[in-house]
Amino acid sequence: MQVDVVRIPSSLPSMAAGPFEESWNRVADILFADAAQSGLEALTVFIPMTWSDSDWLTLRSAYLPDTHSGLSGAVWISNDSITDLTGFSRIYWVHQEIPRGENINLGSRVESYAVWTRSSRWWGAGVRLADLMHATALRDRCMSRSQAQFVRQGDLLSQFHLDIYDGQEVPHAHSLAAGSR
Amino acid sequence: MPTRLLQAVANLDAWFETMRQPGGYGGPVAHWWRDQFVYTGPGLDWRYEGILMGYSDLWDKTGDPIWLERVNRAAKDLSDGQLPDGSYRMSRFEQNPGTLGTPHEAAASLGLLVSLQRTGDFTLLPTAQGNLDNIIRRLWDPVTRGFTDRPGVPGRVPNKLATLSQALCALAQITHDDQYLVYAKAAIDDVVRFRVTRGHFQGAIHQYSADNMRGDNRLFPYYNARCVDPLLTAAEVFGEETYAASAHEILEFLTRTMTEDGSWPQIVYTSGSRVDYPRWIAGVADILYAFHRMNNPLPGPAWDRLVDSQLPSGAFPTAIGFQRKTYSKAPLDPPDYRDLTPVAGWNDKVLRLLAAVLPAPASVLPAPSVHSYSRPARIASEEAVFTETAMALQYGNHCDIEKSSAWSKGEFVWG
Repeated sequence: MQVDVVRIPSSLPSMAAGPFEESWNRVADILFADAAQSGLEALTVFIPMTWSDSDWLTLRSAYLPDTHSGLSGAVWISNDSITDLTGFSRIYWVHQEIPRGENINLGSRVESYAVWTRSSRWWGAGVRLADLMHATALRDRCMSRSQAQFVRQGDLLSQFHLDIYDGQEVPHAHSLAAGSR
Repeated sequence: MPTRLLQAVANLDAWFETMRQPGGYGGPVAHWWRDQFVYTGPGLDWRYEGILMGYSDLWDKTGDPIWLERVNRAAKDLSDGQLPDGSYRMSRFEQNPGTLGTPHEAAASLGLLVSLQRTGDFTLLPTAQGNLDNIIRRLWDPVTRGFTDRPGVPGRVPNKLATLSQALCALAQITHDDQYLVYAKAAIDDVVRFRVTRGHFQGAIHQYSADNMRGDNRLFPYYNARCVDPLLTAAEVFGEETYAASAHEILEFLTRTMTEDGSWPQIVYTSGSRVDYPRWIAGVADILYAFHRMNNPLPGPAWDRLVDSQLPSGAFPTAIGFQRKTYSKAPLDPPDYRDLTPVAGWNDKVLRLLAAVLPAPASVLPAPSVHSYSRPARIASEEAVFTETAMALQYGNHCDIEKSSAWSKGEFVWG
Protein backbone atom coordinates (compact mmCIF):
# COMPACT_ATOMS: atom_id res chain seq x y z
CA MET A 1 0.00 0.00 0.00
CA GLN A 2 1.33 3.37 -1.01
CA VAL A 3 0.95 5.94 1.79
CA ASP A 4 1.15 9.66 1.01
CA VAL A 5 0.90 12.72 3.21
CA VAL A 6 -0.78 16.06 2.53
CA ARG A 7 -0.56 18.88 5.09
CA ILE A 8 -3.78 20.75 5.80
CA PRO A 9 -4.88 23.54 8.13
CA SER A 10 -6.69 21.93 11.06
CA SER A 11 -7.76 22.91 14.55
CA LEU A 12 -7.21 19.41 15.97
CA PRO A 13 -4.89 19.56 18.99
CA SER A 14 -1.43 18.06 19.11
CA MET A 15 -1.53 14.39 20.04
CA ALA A 16 1.94 14.19 21.50
CA ALA A 17 1.44 13.09 25.09
CA GLY A 18 -0.76 11.34 27.65
CA PRO A 19 -4.31 10.39 26.70
CA PHE A 20 -3.99 12.41 23.48
CA GLU A 21 -1.12 10.19 22.40
CA GLU A 22 -3.04 7.07 23.40
CA SER A 23 -6.10 8.36 21.51
CA TRP A 24 -4.13 8.94 18.40
CA ASN A 25 -2.38 5.57 18.59
CA ARG A 26 -5.74 3.80 18.88
CA VAL A 27 -7.23 5.79 16.00
CA ALA A 28 -4.21 5.16 13.78
CA ASP A 29 -4.25 1.43 14.55
CA ILE A 30 -7.93 1.09 13.69
CA LEU A 31 -7.73 2.97 10.44
CA PHE A 32 -4.56 1.23 9.25
CA ALA A 33 -6.06 -2.18 10.07
CA ASP A 34 -9.21 -1.24 8.19
CA ALA A 35 -7.19 0.02 5.22
CA ALA A 36 -5.30 -3.28 5.12
CA GLN A 37 -8.55 -5.26 5.43
CA SER A 38 -10.15 -3.22 2.65
CA GLY A 39 -7.33 -4.06 0.27
CA LEU A 40 -6.46 -0.45 -0.50
CA GLU A 41 -3.68 0.12 -2.95
CA ALA A 42 -3.07 3.71 -1.85
CA LEU A 43 -3.82 5.79 1.23
CA THR A 44 -3.59 9.57 1.35
CA VAL A 45 -3.32 11.01 4.85
CA PHE A 46 -4.32 14.66 5.29
CA ILE A 47 -2.40 15.71 8.41
CA PRO A 48 -2.72 18.97 10.36
CA MET A 49 0.12 21.34 9.51
CA THR A 50 0.85 21.76 13.22
CA TRP A 51 1.68 18.07 13.74
CA SER A 52 5.43 17.81 13.48
CA ASP A 53 5.86 14.13 14.34
CA SER A 54 5.01 11.58 11.68
CA ASP A 55 6.83 8.54 13.12
CA TRP A 56 3.44 6.98 13.82
CA LEU A 57 2.75 7.03 10.10
CA THR A 58 6.15 5.73 9.03
CA LEU A 59 5.99 2.83 11.48
CA ARG A 60 2.47 1.80 10.55
CA SER A 61 3.34 1.95 6.87
CA ALA A 62 6.10 -0.64 7.37
CA TYR A 63 4.00 -3.79 7.23
CA LEU A 64 1.12 -3.01 4.90
CA PRO A 65 0.20 -5.49 2.18
CA ASP A 66 1.02 -4.72 -1.45
CA THR A 67 -2.07 -4.92 -3.62
CA HIS A 68 -3.06 -3.83 -7.10
CA SER A 69 -6.74 -3.42 -6.32
CA GLY A 70 -6.96 0.09 -7.74
CA LEU A 71 -8.74 1.13 -4.53
CA SER A 72 -7.61 4.23 -2.71
CA GLY A 73 -8.42 5.66 0.68
CA ALA A 74 -8.18 9.04 2.38
CA VAL A 75 -7.65 9.95 6.02
CA TRP A 76 -9.02 13.40 6.87
CA ILE A 77 -7.83 14.66 10.28
CA SER A 78 -9.78 17.81 10.97
CA ASN A 79 -12.83 19.19 12.71
CA ASP A 80 -13.61 21.13 9.56
CA SER A 81 -15.91 19.64 7.00
CA ILE A 82 -14.31 17.74 4.20
CA THR A 83 -13.96 19.66 0.98
CA ASP A 84 -13.51 17.19 -1.83
CA LEU A 85 -12.62 13.57 -1.44
CA THR A 86 -14.30 12.41 -4.59
CA GLY A 87 -12.96 9.18 -5.95
CA PHE A 88 -11.64 7.63 -2.78
CA SER A 89 -13.25 4.29 -2.07
CA ARG A 90 -12.63 4.42 1.68
CA ILE A 91 -12.67 7.59 3.75
CA TYR A 92 -11.55 7.91 7.36
CA TRP A 93 -12.61 11.08 9.15
CA VAL A 94 -10.97 11.84 12.48
CA HIS A 95 -12.64 14.70 14.31
CA GLN A 96 -13.76 15.92 17.72
CA GLU A 97 -17.33 17.15 17.58
CA ILE A 98 -20.17 14.96 16.39
CA PRO A 99 -21.60 16.89 13.45
CA ARG A 100 -25.32 17.49 13.82
CA GLY A 101 -27.64 18.32 10.99
CA GLU A 102 -24.75 18.73 8.61
CA ASN A 103 -25.08 17.14 5.23
CA ILE A 104 -21.84 15.20 4.83
CA ASN A 105 -21.74 13.64 1.42
CA LEU A 106 -19.03 11.07 1.89
CA GLY A 107 -20.91 7.93 0.98
CA SER A 108 -22.28 5.47 3.46
CA ARG A 109 -20.84 5.34 6.94
CA VAL A 110 -19.90 1.77 7.72
CA GLU A 111 -18.31 2.14 11.12
CA SER A 112 -17.72 4.69 13.82
CA TYR A 113 -15.50 4.66 16.86
CA ALA A 114 -15.57 6.81 19.98
CA VAL A 115 -12.06 7.29 21.35
CA TRP A 116 -11.29 8.52 24.88
CA THR A 117 -14.93 8.19 25.80
CA ARG A 118 -16.60 10.32 28.41
CA SER A 119 -16.86 7.39 30.82
CA SER A 120 -13.16 6.75 30.35
CA ARG A 121 -12.48 10.39 31.17
CA TRP A 122 -14.56 10.14 34.36
CA TRP A 123 -12.45 7.20 35.50
CA GLY A 124 -9.41 9.25 34.49
CA ALA A 125 -10.59 11.93 36.92
CA GLY A 126 -10.64 9.18 39.54
CA VAL A 127 -7.01 8.45 38.72
CA ARG A 128 -6.05 12.05 39.35
CA LEU A 129 -8.04 12.18 42.58
CA ALA A 130 -6.39 8.98 43.79
CA ASP A 131 -3.02 10.50 42.94
CA LEU A 132 -3.80 13.47 45.17
CA MET A 133 -4.79 11.11 47.97
CA HIS A 134 -1.66 8.96 47.40
CA ALA A 135 -4.08 6.03 47.14
CA THR A 136 -2.08 3.81 44.80
CA ALA A 137 -4.40 0.81 44.81
CA LEU A 138 -7.41 3.02 44.09
CA ARG A 139 -5.45 4.65 41.30
CA ASP A 140 -4.80 1.28 39.66
CA ARG A 141 -8.49 0.36 39.88
CA CYS A 142 -9.56 3.63 38.29
CA MET A 143 -6.90 3.29 35.60
CA SER A 144 -8.11 -0.19 34.68
CA ARG A 145 -11.68 1.06 34.31
CA SER A 146 -10.54 4.05 32.30
CA GLN A 147 -8.56 1.84 29.92
CA ALA A 148 -11.37 -0.67 29.51
CA GLN A 149 -13.71 2.05 28.27
CA PHE A 150 -11.20 4.08 26.31
CA VAL A 151 -12.47 2.99 22.89
CA ARG A 152 -16.00 1.99 21.98
CA GLN A 153 -17.84 1.47 18.74
CA GLY A 154 -20.68 3.86 17.99
CA ASP A 155 -21.54 7.53 18.44
CA LEU A 156 -20.77 7.83 22.13
CA LEU A 157 -19.69 11.04 23.78
CA SER A 158 -15.95 11.14 23.50
CA GLN A 159 -12.97 13.34 22.89
CA PHE A 160 -12.35 11.97 19.40
CA HIS A 161 -14.34 10.21 16.72
CA LEU A 162 -13.27 8.07 13.82
CA ASP A 163 -15.92 7.63 11.14
CA ILE A 164 -15.31 5.21 8.31
CA TYR A 165 -17.16 5.68 5.02
CA ASP A 166 -17.49 3.63 1.91
CA GLY A 167 -16.75 6.41 -0.56
CA GLN A 168 -18.73 7.13 -3.67
CA GLU A 169 -17.30 5.09 -6.49
CA VAL A 170 -16.38 7.50 -9.24
CA PRO A 171 -14.18 5.78 -11.85
CA HIS A 172 -11.03 7.63 -12.91
CA ALA A 173 -11.69 10.44 -10.48
CA HIS A 174 -8.54 10.10 -8.40
CA SER A 175 -7.39 13.61 -9.11
CA LEU A 176 -6.95 14.67 -5.50
CA ALA A 177 -5.06 11.50 -4.58
CA ALA A 178 -2.92 11.65 -7.69
CA GLY A 179 -2.15 15.31 -7.17
CA SER A 180 -0.78 14.70 -3.71
CA ARG A 181 1.90 12.22 -4.74
CA MET B 1 10.82 -35.26 33.26
CA PRO B 2 13.43 -34.99 30.47
CA THR B 3 11.20 -36.70 27.88
CA ARG B 4 8.25 -34.48 28.73
CA LEU B 5 10.51 -31.45 28.81
CA LEU B 6 11.97 -32.24 25.40
CA GLN B 7 8.49 -32.67 23.93
CA ALA B 8 7.33 -29.41 25.50
CA VAL B 9 10.26 -27.56 23.93
CA ALA B 10 9.66 -29.17 20.53
CA ASN B 11 6.00 -28.20 20.64
CA LEU B 12 6.75 -24.64 21.76
CA ASP B 13 9.26 -24.26 18.93
CA ALA B 14 6.63 -25.50 16.46
CA TRP B 15 4.26 -22.82 17.75
CA PHE B 16 6.89 -20.10 17.42
CA GLU B 17 7.31 -21.12 13.78
CA THR B 18 3.61 -20.40 13.20
CA MET B 19 4.16 -16.86 14.52
CA ARG B 20 6.79 -15.94 11.93
CA GLN B 21 6.09 -13.07 9.55
CA PRO B 22 8.36 -11.13 7.22
CA GLY B 23 10.35 -9.05 9.71
CA GLY B 24 10.04 -11.27 12.75
CA TYR B 25 7.72 -12.90 15.27
CA GLY B 26 4.25 -11.36 15.35
CA GLY B 27 0.89 -11.80 17.04
CA PRO B 28 -1.36 -9.94 19.47
CA VAL B 29 -0.33 -8.78 22.94
CA ALA B 30 -2.25 -9.09 26.20
CA HIS B 31 -0.61 -7.26 29.11
CA TRP B 32 -1.36 -5.58 32.42
CA TRP B 33 -0.68 -2.11 31.07
CA ARG B 34 -2.52 -2.33 27.77
CA ASP B 35 -3.50 -4.79 25.06
CA GLN B 36 -2.72 -4.72 21.35
CA PHE B 37 -5.05 -6.85 19.26
CA VAL B 38 -5.18 -4.57 16.20
CA TYR B 39 -1.53 -4.35 15.18
CA THR B 40 -0.32 -7.96 15.11
CA GLY B 41 2.86 -7.58 13.09
CA PRO B 42 6.45 -8.21 14.13
CA GLY B 43 7.65 -6.76 17.42
CA LEU B 44 11.37 -6.29 17.99
CA ASP B 45 10.94 -6.17 21.74
CA TRP B 46 11.66 -8.31 24.78
CA ARG B 47 10.40 -11.40 22.97
CA TYR B 48 13.87 -11.49 21.41
CA GLU B 49 15.50 -11.81 24.81
CA GLY B 50 13.97 -15.22 25.50
CA ILE B 51 13.98 -16.36 21.88
CA LEU B 52 17.69 -15.64 21.42
CA MET B 53 18.75 -16.89 24.85
CA GLY B 54 16.52 -19.97 24.65
CA TYR B 55 17.60 -21.05 21.20
CA SER B 56 21.26 -20.33 22.06
CA ASP B 57 20.92 -22.62 25.06
CA LEU B 58 19.38 -25.35 22.92
CA TRP B 59 22.24 -25.00 20.40
CA ASP B 60 24.73 -25.28 23.27
CA LYS B 61 23.12 -28.34 24.78
CA THR B 62 22.14 -30.33 21.69
CA GLY B 63 24.52 -29.23 18.95
CA ASP B 64 21.56 -29.52 16.57
CA PRO B 65 22.11 -26.97 13.77
CA ILE B 66 18.38 -26.18 13.62
CA TRP B 67 18.78 -24.11 16.80
CA LEU B 68 21.72 -22.20 15.38
CA GLU B 69 19.54 -21.36 12.36
CA ARG B 70 16.84 -20.08 14.71
CA VAL B 71 19.41 -17.94 16.54
CA ASN B 72 20.83 -16.49 13.35
CA ARG B 73 17.41 -15.74 11.92
CA ALA B 74 16.26 -13.96 15.09
CA ALA B 75 19.51 -11.98 15.26
CA LYS B 76 18.97 -10.95 11.64
CA ASP B 77 15.44 -9.78 12.50
CA LEU B 78 16.96 -7.27 14.92
CA SER B 79 19.67 -6.20 12.50
CA ASP B 80 17.23 -5.77 9.60
CA GLY B 81 14.77 -3.90 11.81
CA GLN B 82 17.29 -1.47 13.23
CA LEU B 83 16.57 2.16 12.39
CA PRO B 84 19.29 4.71 11.52
CA ASP B 85 19.44 6.03 15.11
CA GLY B 86 20.11 2.53 16.47
CA SER B 87 16.63 1.85 17.86
CA TYR B 88 14.55 -1.13 16.80
CA ARG B 89 11.37 -0.86 14.78
CA MET B 90 8.25 -1.88 16.73
CA SER B 91 10.04 -2.22 20.07
CA ARG B 92 7.25 -1.27 22.47
CA PHE B 93 5.45 -4.60 22.84
CA GLU B 94 1.95 -3.74 24.11
CA GLN B 95 2.41 -0.15 22.90
CA ASN B 96 3.49 -1.08 19.41
CA PRO B 97 3.83 0.33 16.81
CA GLY B 98 6.59 2.41 18.41
CA THR B 99 10.32 2.65 19.06
CA LEU B 100 12.70 3.16 21.99
CA GLY B 101 10.69 0.63 24.00
CA THR B 102 11.87 0.09 27.56
CA PRO B 103 13.02 -2.42 28.71
CA HIS B 104 12.36 -3.98 25.36
CA GLU B 105 15.25 -2.70 23.29
CA ALA B 106 17.76 -3.44 26.05
CA ALA B 107 16.24 -6.90 26.53
CA ALA B 108 16.43 -7.66 22.81
CA SER B 109 20.03 -6.45 22.70
CA LEU B 110 20.83 -8.55 25.77
CA GLY B 111 19.45 -11.58 23.97
CA LEU B 112 21.56 -10.71 20.95
CA LEU B 113 24.74 -10.25 23.00
CA VAL B 114 24.24 -13.55 24.83
CA SER B 115 23.69 -15.32 21.51
CA LEU B 116 26.88 -13.77 20.08
CA GLN B 117 28.83 -15.10 23.05
CA ARG B 118 27.29 -18.55 22.72
CA THR B 119 27.80 -18.91 18.98
CA GLY B 120 31.14 -17.11 18.79
CA ASP B 121 29.94 -15.18 15.76
CA PHE B 122 30.26 -11.47 16.50
CA THR B 123 29.17 -10.19 13.08
CA LEU B 124 26.11 -8.48 14.55
CA LEU B 125 27.86 -6.90 17.52
CA PRO B 126 27.44 -3.44 15.93
CA THR B 127 23.67 -3.96 16.00
CA ALA B 128 23.55 -4.46 19.77
CA GLN B 129 26.19 -1.83 20.42
CA GLY B 130 24.45 0.74 18.21
CA ASN B 131 21.20 0.05 20.01
CA LEU B 132 22.62 0.42 23.51
CA ASP B 133 24.60 3.51 22.49
CA ASN B 134 21.32 5.06 21.37
CA ILE B 135 19.64 4.20 24.67
CA ILE B 136 22.52 5.91 26.51
CA ARG B 137 22.23 8.92 24.20
CA ARG B 138 18.45 9.23 24.64
CA LEU B 139 17.80 8.19 28.24
CA TRP B 140 20.94 9.00 30.25
CA ASP B 141 20.41 12.02 32.47
CA PRO B 142 23.82 13.56 33.27
CA VAL B 143 22.36 15.68 36.07
CA THR B 144 20.97 12.83 38.16
CA ARG B 145 23.46 10.36 36.65
CA GLY B 146 20.89 7.75 35.83
CA PHE B 147 18.60 6.44 33.11
CA THR B 148 15.11 7.89 32.80
CA ASP B 149 12.16 5.96 31.42
CA ARG B 150 11.45 8.46 28.66
CA PRO B 151 13.44 11.39 27.36
CA GLY B 152 12.76 14.47 29.45
CA VAL B 153 10.98 12.88 32.42
CA PRO B 154 12.76 12.13 35.71
CA GLY B 155 10.96 8.84 36.47
CA ARG B 156 12.83 5.60 37.08
CA VAL B 157 11.52 2.07 36.49
CA PRO B 158 13.88 -0.18 38.46
CA ASN B 159 13.14 -3.50 36.77
CA LYS B 160 13.80 -1.95 33.36
CA LEU B 161 17.06 -0.53 34.65
CA ALA B 162 18.05 -4.01 35.79
CA THR B 163 17.67 -5.35 32.26
CA LEU B 164 19.59 -2.42 30.82
CA SER B 165 22.39 -2.91 33.36
CA GLN B 166 22.73 -6.56 32.43
CA ALA B 167 22.86 -5.72 28.72
CA LEU B 168 25.55 -3.09 29.33
CA CYS B 169 27.59 -5.55 31.40
CA ALA B 170 27.45 -8.04 28.52
CA LEU B 171 28.48 -5.32 26.06
CA ALA B 172 31.41 -4.27 28.26
CA GLN B 173 32.52 -7.86 28.56
CA ILE B 174 32.53 -8.39 24.79
CA THR B 175 34.00 -5.03 23.76
CA HIS B 176 36.38 -4.65 26.75
CA ASP B 177 35.14 -1.07 26.89
CA ASP B 178 34.81 -0.18 30.57
CA GLN B 179 32.84 3.02 29.91
CA TYR B 180 29.75 0.80 29.63
CA LEU B 181 30.33 -0.44 33.17
CA VAL B 182 29.91 3.08 34.52
CA TYR B 183 26.41 3.18 33.02
CA ALA B 184 25.68 -0.41 34.05
CA LYS B 185 26.57 0.34 37.67
CA ALA B 186 24.48 3.50 37.77
CA ALA B 187 21.50 1.54 36.44
CA ILE B 188 21.78 -1.36 38.90
CA ASP B 189 22.41 1.03 41.81
CA ASP B 190 19.06 2.66 41.01
CA VAL B 191 17.42 -0.77 41.29
CA VAL B 192 18.81 -1.29 44.78
CA ARG B 193 18.00 2.30 45.73
CA PHE B 194 14.28 1.59 45.23
CA ARG B 195 14.06 -1.52 47.40
CA VAL B 196 11.76 -1.65 50.39
CA THR B 197 14.08 -1.14 53.32
CA ARG B 198 12.06 -2.54 56.20
CA GLY B 199 8.96 -4.48 57.19
CA HIS B 200 7.21 -7.51 55.76
CA PHE B 201 8.22 -6.77 52.19
CA GLN B 202 11.83 -5.87 52.89
CA GLY B 203 13.99 -6.25 49.82
CA ALA B 204 11.18 -6.11 47.26
CA ILE B 205 11.62 -3.50 44.54
CA HIS B 206 9.15 -0.70 43.92
CA GLN B 207 7.71 -0.61 40.42
CA TYR B 208 8.23 3.07 39.73
CA SER B 209 9.52 6.32 41.08
CA ALA B 210 7.97 9.32 39.39
CA ASP B 211 10.18 11.85 41.16
CA ASN B 212 13.33 9.71 41.30
CA MET B 213 13.17 9.96 45.09
CA ARG B 214 10.42 7.72 46.44
CA GLY B 215 9.04 4.37 45.31
CA ASP B 216 5.37 4.09 44.38
CA ASN B 217 4.56 1.31 46.89
CA ARG B 218 3.59 -1.12 44.14
CA LEU B 219 5.44 -4.43 44.23
CA PHE B 220 4.91 -6.65 41.19
CA PRO B 221 6.23 -10.16 41.87
CA TYR B 222 6.78 -10.64 38.15
CA TYR B 223 8.88 -7.51 37.70
CA ASN B 224 10.77 -8.20 40.91
CA ALA B 225 11.76 -11.57 39.49
CA ARG B 226 13.20 -9.89 36.41
CA CYS B 227 15.68 -8.03 38.64
CA VAL B 228 17.26 -11.22 40.03
CA ASP B 229 19.45 -12.29 37.10
CA PRO B 230 20.78 -8.75 36.47
CA LEU B 231 21.59 -8.37 40.18
CA LEU B 232 23.55 -11.62 40.12
CA THR B 233 25.39 -10.42 37.03
CA ALA B 234 26.20 -7.14 38.78
CA ALA B 235 27.46 -9.01 41.87
CA GLU B 236 29.85 -10.95 39.66
CA VAL B 237 30.99 -8.04 37.47
CA PHE B 238 31.42 -5.47 40.25
CA GLY B 239 32.38 -7.88 43.00
CA GLU B 240 29.85 -6.40 45.41
CA GLU B 241 27.89 -8.72 47.66
CA THR B 242 25.14 -6.11 48.09
CA TYR B 243 23.70 -7.04 44.73
CA ALA B 244 23.61 -10.76 45.49
CA ALA B 245 22.03 -10.01 48.87
CA SER B 246 19.38 -7.93 47.13
CA ALA B 247 18.66 -10.81 44.73
CA HIS B 248 18.32 -13.13 47.70
CA GLU B 249 15.80 -10.80 49.37
CA ILE B 250 13.73 -10.67 46.18
CA LEU B 251 13.60 -14.44 46.12
CA GLU B 252 12.31 -14.41 49.69
CA PHE B 253 9.62 -11.96 48.62
CA LEU B 254 8.67 -14.24 45.73
CA THR B 255 8.54 -17.26 48.03
CA ARG B 256 6.30 -15.42 50.50
CA THR B 257 3.87 -14.12 47.89
CA MET B 258 3.38 -17.36 45.95
CA THR B 259 -0.15 -18.70 46.35
CA GLU B 260 -1.03 -22.33 47.07
CA ASP B 261 -1.74 -23.09 43.42
CA GLY B 262 1.71 -21.90 42.35
CA SER B 263 0.68 -18.53 40.95
CA TRP B 264 1.46 -14.99 42.03
CA PRO B 265 -0.76 -11.95 42.49
CA GLN B 266 -0.31 -9.22 39.91
CA ILE B 267 0.48 -6.49 42.46
CA VAL B 268 1.21 -6.48 46.17
CA TYR B 269 1.04 -3.00 47.74
CA THR B 270 3.23 -2.09 50.68
CA SER B 271 -0.03 -1.51 52.59
CA GLY B 272 -0.70 -5.24 52.29
CA SER B 273 -3.58 -5.02 49.81
CA ARG B 274 -3.31 -6.78 46.47
CA VAL B 275 -4.48 -6.92 42.92
CA ASP B 276 -4.84 -10.67 42.51
CA TYR B 277 -5.57 -10.83 38.78
CA PRO B 278 -4.58 -11.39 36.07
CA ARG B 279 -2.23 -14.08 37.30
CA TRP B 280 0.40 -14.83 34.72
CA ILE B 281 0.86 -18.29 33.28
CA ALA B 282 3.54 -18.01 30.56
CA GLY B 283 5.12 -15.05 32.34
CA VAL B 284 5.63 -17.15 35.47
CA ALA B 285 8.57 -18.64 33.57
CA ASP B 286 10.55 -15.49 34.39
CA ILE B 287 9.79 -15.97 38.09
CA LEU B 288 10.90 -19.58 37.91
CA TYR B 289 13.98 -18.50 35.98
CA ALA B 290 14.91 -16.32 38.96
CA PHE B 291 14.77 -19.40 41.23
CA HIS B 292 16.84 -21.32 38.69
CA ARG B 293 19.51 -18.61 38.50
CA MET B 294 19.73 -18.54 42.29
CA ASN B 295 20.30 -22.32 42.26
CA ASN B 296 17.12 -22.77 44.28
CA PRO B 297 14.72 -25.63 43.54
CA LEU B 298 11.82 -24.50 41.36
CA PRO B 299 8.61 -24.36 43.44
CA GLY B 300 6.76 -27.55 42.51
CA PRO B 301 3.21 -26.16 42.26
CA ALA B 302 4.38 -23.27 40.06
CA TRP B 303 6.37 -25.54 37.76
CA ASP B 304 3.48 -28.02 37.46
CA ARG B 305 1.00 -25.24 36.81
CA LEU B 306 3.18 -23.90 34.02
CA VAL B 307 3.97 -27.14 32.18
CA ASP B 308 0.42 -28.45 32.57
CA SER B 309 -0.95 -25.34 30.88
CA GLN B 310 0.70 -25.94 27.50
CA LEU B 311 -1.89 -25.64 24.76
CA PRO B 312 -2.38 -28.18 21.94
CA SER B 313 -0.74 -25.65 19.62
CA GLY B 314 2.48 -25.88 21.64
CA ALA B 315 2.11 -22.38 23.10
CA PHE B 316 1.46 -21.36 26.69
CA PRO B 317 -1.55 -19.17 27.51
CA THR B 318 -1.05 -15.72 28.97
CA ALA B 319 -2.96 -15.64 32.25
CA ILE B 320 -5.98 -16.37 34.38
CA GLY B 321 -8.50 -13.70 35.30
CA PHE B 322 -7.90 -10.82 32.89
CA GLN B 323 -11.54 -9.80 33.25
CA ARG B 324 -10.91 -9.26 36.97
CA LYS B 325 -8.41 -6.57 36.17
CA THR B 326 -11.41 -4.35 35.60
CA TYR B 327 -14.23 -6.12 37.44
CA SER B 328 -12.96 -7.77 40.61
CA LYS B 329 -15.87 -10.22 40.88
CA ALA B 330 -15.98 -11.24 37.22
CA PRO B 331 -16.23 -15.00 36.69
CA LEU B 332 -13.02 -16.86 35.86
CA ASP B 333 -14.85 -19.39 33.72
CA PRO B 334 -15.01 -19.23 30.77
CA PRO B 335 -11.65 -17.48 30.52
CA ASP B 336 -11.29 -14.01 29.11
CA TYR B 337 -10.00 -13.98 25.51
CA ARG B 338 -6.78 -12.35 26.74
CA ASP B 339 -6.19 -15.19 29.19
CA LEU B 340 -6.22 -17.77 26.41
CA THR B 341 -4.34 -15.78 23.79
CA PRO B 342 -0.79 -17.07 23.41
CA VAL B 343 1.65 -14.18 23.06
CA ALA B 344 5.15 -14.39 21.58
CA GLY B 345 6.47 -11.91 24.15
CA TRP B 346 5.36 -14.16 27.02
CA ASN B 347 6.16 -17.50 25.43
CA ASP B 348 9.78 -16.45 24.90
CA LYS B 349 10.10 -16.53 28.70
CA VAL B 350 8.96 -20.15 28.73
CA LEU B 351 11.41 -21.03 25.97
CA ARG B 352 14.27 -19.47 27.93
CA LEU B 353 13.30 -21.33 31.10
CA LEU B 354 12.76 -24.73 29.49
CA ALA B 355 16.05 -24.46 27.62
CA ALA B 356 17.83 -23.42 30.80
CA VAL B 357 16.57 -26.33 32.91
CA LEU B 358 17.17 -28.89 30.15
CA PRO B 359 20.04 -31.09 31.33
CA ALA B 360 23.18 -30.93 29.16
CA PRO B 361 24.07 -32.59 26.92
CA ALA B 362 20.56 -33.04 25.62
CA SER B 363 19.46 -35.32 22.84
CA VAL B 364 17.94 -34.08 19.59
CA LEU B 365 14.38 -33.04 20.23
CA PRO B 366 11.45 -35.26 19.22
CA ALA B 367 9.12 -34.28 16.39
CA PRO B 368 6.51 -31.77 17.53
CA SER B 369 3.03 -33.00 18.30
CA VAL B 370 0.69 -30.03 17.91
CA HIS B 371 -2.79 -29.42 16.58
CA SER B 372 -5.61 -26.87 16.39
CA TYR B 373 -8.05 -26.47 19.27
CA SER B 374 -11.08 -24.51 20.41
CA ARG B 375 -11.97 -23.28 23.87
CA PRO B 376 -14.98 -21.50 25.37
CA ALA B 377 -14.07 -17.89 26.07
CA ARG B 378 -15.51 -14.60 27.18
CA ILE B 379 -15.09 -12.00 24.49
CA ALA B 380 -16.29 -8.46 25.14
CA SER B 381 -18.82 -9.64 27.79
CA GLU B 382 -20.22 -12.36 25.50
CA GLU B 383 -19.55 -16.06 25.66
CA ALA B 384 -17.96 -17.29 22.46
CA VAL B 385 -15.42 -19.74 21.13
CA PHE B 386 -11.71 -19.08 20.80
CA THR B 387 -9.91 -21.15 18.19
CA GLU B 388 -6.24 -21.41 17.38
CA THR B 389 -4.92 -23.04 14.23
CA ALA B 390 -1.47 -22.95 12.68
CA MET B 391 -2.70 -20.07 10.52
CA ALA B 392 -4.94 -18.00 12.76
CA LEU B 393 -6.35 -16.94 16.10
CA GLN B 394 -10.13 -16.67 15.88
CA TYR B 395 -12.28 -14.85 18.42
CA GLY B 396 -15.83 -16.04 17.78
CA ASN B 397 -17.58 -13.78 15.33
CA HIS B 398 -15.64 -10.78 16.54
CA CYS B 399 -12.22 -10.85 15.01
CA ASP B 400 -9.68 -12.97 13.17
CA ILE B 401 -5.97 -12.63 13.51
CA GLU B 402 -4.17 -14.27 10.64
CA LYS B 403 -0.76 -15.14 11.96
CA SER B 404 0.81 -14.06 8.67
CA SER B 405 -0.79 -10.61 8.79
CA ALA B 406 0.38 -7.48 10.57
CA TRP B 407 -3.18 -6.24 11.10
CA SER B 408 -6.20 -8.05 12.52
CA LYS B 409 -9.52 -8.43 10.73
CA GLY B 410 -13.13 -7.97 11.70
CA GLU B 411 -14.67 -6.25 14.67
CA PHE B 412 -11.89 -5.13 16.97
CA VAL B 413 -12.19 -6.21 20.57
CA TRP B 414 -11.38 -4.05 23.54
CA GLY B 415 -10.81 -5.00 27.17
